[in-house]
Amino acid sequence: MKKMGKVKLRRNTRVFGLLLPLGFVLGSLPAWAAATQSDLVIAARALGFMENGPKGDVTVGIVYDPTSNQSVQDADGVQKILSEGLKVGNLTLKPVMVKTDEIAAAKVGLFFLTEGVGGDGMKVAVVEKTKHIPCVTVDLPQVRNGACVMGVQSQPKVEILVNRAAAADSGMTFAAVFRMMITEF
Amino acid sequence: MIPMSSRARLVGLSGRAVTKSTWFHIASAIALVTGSTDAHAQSMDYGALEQLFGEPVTTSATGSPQRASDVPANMEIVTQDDIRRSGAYDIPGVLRHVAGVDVLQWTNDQADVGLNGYNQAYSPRLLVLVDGRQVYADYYGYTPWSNVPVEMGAIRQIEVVKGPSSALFGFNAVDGVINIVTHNPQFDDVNTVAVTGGTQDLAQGSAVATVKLGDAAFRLSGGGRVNKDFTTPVPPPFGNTRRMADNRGAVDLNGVIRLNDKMELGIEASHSSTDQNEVDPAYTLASVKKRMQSVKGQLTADTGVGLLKATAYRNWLTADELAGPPFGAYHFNNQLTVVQVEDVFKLGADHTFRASAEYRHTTMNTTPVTGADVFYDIYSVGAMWEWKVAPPVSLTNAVRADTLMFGRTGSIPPGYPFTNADWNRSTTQMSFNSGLVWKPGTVDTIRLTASRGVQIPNLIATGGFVAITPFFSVGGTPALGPSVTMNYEIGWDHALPAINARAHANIFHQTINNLLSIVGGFIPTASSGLATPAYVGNSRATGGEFGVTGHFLENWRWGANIRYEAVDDRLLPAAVGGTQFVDFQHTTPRVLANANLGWAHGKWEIDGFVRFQSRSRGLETLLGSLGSTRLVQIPAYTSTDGRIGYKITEHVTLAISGQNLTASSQQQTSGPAVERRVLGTLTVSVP
Repeated sequence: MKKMGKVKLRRNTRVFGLLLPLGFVLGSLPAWAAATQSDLVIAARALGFMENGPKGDVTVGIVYDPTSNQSVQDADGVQKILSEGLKVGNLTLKPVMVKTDEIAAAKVGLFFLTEGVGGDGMKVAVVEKTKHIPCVTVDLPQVRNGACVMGVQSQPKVEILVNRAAAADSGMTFAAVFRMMITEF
Repeated sequence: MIPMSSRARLVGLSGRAVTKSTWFHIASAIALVTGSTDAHAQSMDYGALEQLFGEPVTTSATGSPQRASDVPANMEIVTQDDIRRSGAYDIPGVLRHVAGVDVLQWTNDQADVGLNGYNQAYSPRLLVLVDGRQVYADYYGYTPWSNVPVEMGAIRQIEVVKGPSSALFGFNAVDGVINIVTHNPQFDDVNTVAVTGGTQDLAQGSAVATVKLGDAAFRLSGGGRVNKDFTTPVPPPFGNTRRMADNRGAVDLNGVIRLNDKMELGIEASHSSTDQNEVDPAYTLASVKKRMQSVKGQLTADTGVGLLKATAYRNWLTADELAGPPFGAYHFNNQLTVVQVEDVFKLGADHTFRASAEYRHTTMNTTPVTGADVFYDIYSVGAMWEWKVAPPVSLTNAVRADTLMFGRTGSIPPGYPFTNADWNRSTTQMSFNSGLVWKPGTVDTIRLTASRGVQIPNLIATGGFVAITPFFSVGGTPALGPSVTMNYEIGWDHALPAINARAHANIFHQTINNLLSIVGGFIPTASSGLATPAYVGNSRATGGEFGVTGHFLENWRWGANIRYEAVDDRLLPAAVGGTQFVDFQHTTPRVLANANLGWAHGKWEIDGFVRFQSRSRGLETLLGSLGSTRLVQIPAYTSTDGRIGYKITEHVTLAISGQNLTASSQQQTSGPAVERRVLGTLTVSVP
């Protein structure tokens, strides 16, 4: 019994030893909050490194799920930030609200995918691919699952995530300098 | 790739040798670039990327674009704000506030800059570049800072990479690299005029203008300065050369021409002229008139096979040095030709590579006995691989092979115990940089680095200097090989968000084999014998650096750093005690510390800087002996610099600044004491 206990303890220690660095890595991943003005400024600046990216006055389709409180709140917040037209460099972002079932018909130059949209986010990917309209978000899992090409976060440190497969499917390319300084997968 | 075997020669514009195959391969590379069809952006917009990431960006650590917080090196980036608020009128004046930077201010306009100790007169161990173009002068192997043809207003940032970087930049980047990055006229619309007056009868004017003409953008900058040298007594061992007035003039044209959406051509031409007093490697005060010119062309393209860059430049330098007897005056004429090609590309999501090849040819005349040239050719290939192993871990490895071939043409003076065939020798040296960066959380970054840097003897030491007299002779020798520096570092950056600050700590250990002395060798000849440069020992150093920078109450910024370093020289018996121009164990200060406090609000900027250097020693020639030195005490000192800036209007700023403010004069080297300097600067910026 004593021996088995020791073995179990050793196994547990090994498992703990394996989980500890994993926990470290996972623990270092930021908790994603609603989009801030800083996030939107970062997103706009990042779009400047996209070949044939949006320029001038751009209508941003804020994609939200009306059945999700989180998504609605995030959408309201983004609309408020953009309501006067957010000017960043040569880009001026103006908002229009887009429900998840209106994505295909939306006449916009850029999609912003709010948090809480869930699986409906993939509807954006379809339009992104067919109409070559880029999508950005602060909901990074949506980038990882291919709904959006680009995800950004401004705090605690600026991070930019690009889904290479989604970008390739949508015919979107970024400057090589930019690609070398961001996280791609 | 440039073949290493071909030595077929083609007379170029200057009459100097460039291989046929080299030109063929350059042309091939250019054809490859111009033939590409799927490129889009070109050069790096430092300003846009800095705004995007909220921190400076650089290519000086690995050759690929990186955020400052990601580089696998101990690196400091001095921003344009730091430069302005330093109040300094020259680059060494800015660098003296940077952690771990050693500055020997010999005269009013001459300073030597070192990283992590090992500083000396005409310091050879630090490679200095302007936008990637070498301004390090190969003839003596040092950086003539006053001749760097850059106005302060034209500088975007100064990148200080500590530790060997030969795997990226080649020979002589053994203690580190300083890359001065100027504003890109394509992206940065800089138009300023500044006039400065001050103590030592200083009068300086400087202007920077940017013009955009269709797809081309140009920046023209220039400046002039006249002042007097310090009037503090010159210690007798430094000779009795009468100090002349210092003056400097420089002009630089920098252009970027967008050839199409996929490609751009960069051009640069510069001229600088200085007359100033300098302490030379023999620890003698000399009056030196120096002229430097350069031309550079660079083709850049963002292609489907990566960021391609082809660069060619040529530097010309002439220097007339009026020194004391017995040789009187030297005339140096040094030309450097460099051709580089590189491709930086990303494979998959996690792997960035850089492949490079380089050819360089540098030559100088012999002096004071004329009639010959010494030169060397270098053929290099290099590669860098940056692997993002996992989101918090990246591993960078860079390696470079340099094949160096010495040569000499012209007459052999009687009594010089060599033939030109003695210079027909070559060596191949490997350099590497390895760095592991681990970010275990959002506030910590840990770096482990190891590197090997290679320094080669300068042209003077390899035969550029030849002085023959009936009684004794001094001259370079072809027998010198390279010197190797190994460096190991552990670094830790830690953000302190609670107090809006960031701390960094670094521990390093390095070994150097082959410390070069300008004397130390002796070859018996039929008449009197020839004294030559020689390697006089090895050295190793262990040290640490700790610093904190931060902001508080919105308008305040502060910083403090300290470096401790212990050097252990293993000199040959004949060189012990600093007798042969080398003794880093005693000349490297153990403690170097800086602190600064700044406040900016509305129209005002006020900054103060304090620098402390512990007691150390310096070298001076042994009176009555031309070929020997001795150590002298340099007391510990604390110097204070400061600046007060006031915006008279949105575009007009008046600033009062000063260096060494707390003492009218202060002993900082073994040479003449430095004096207090107080300056007033009026800057007008044109929107």
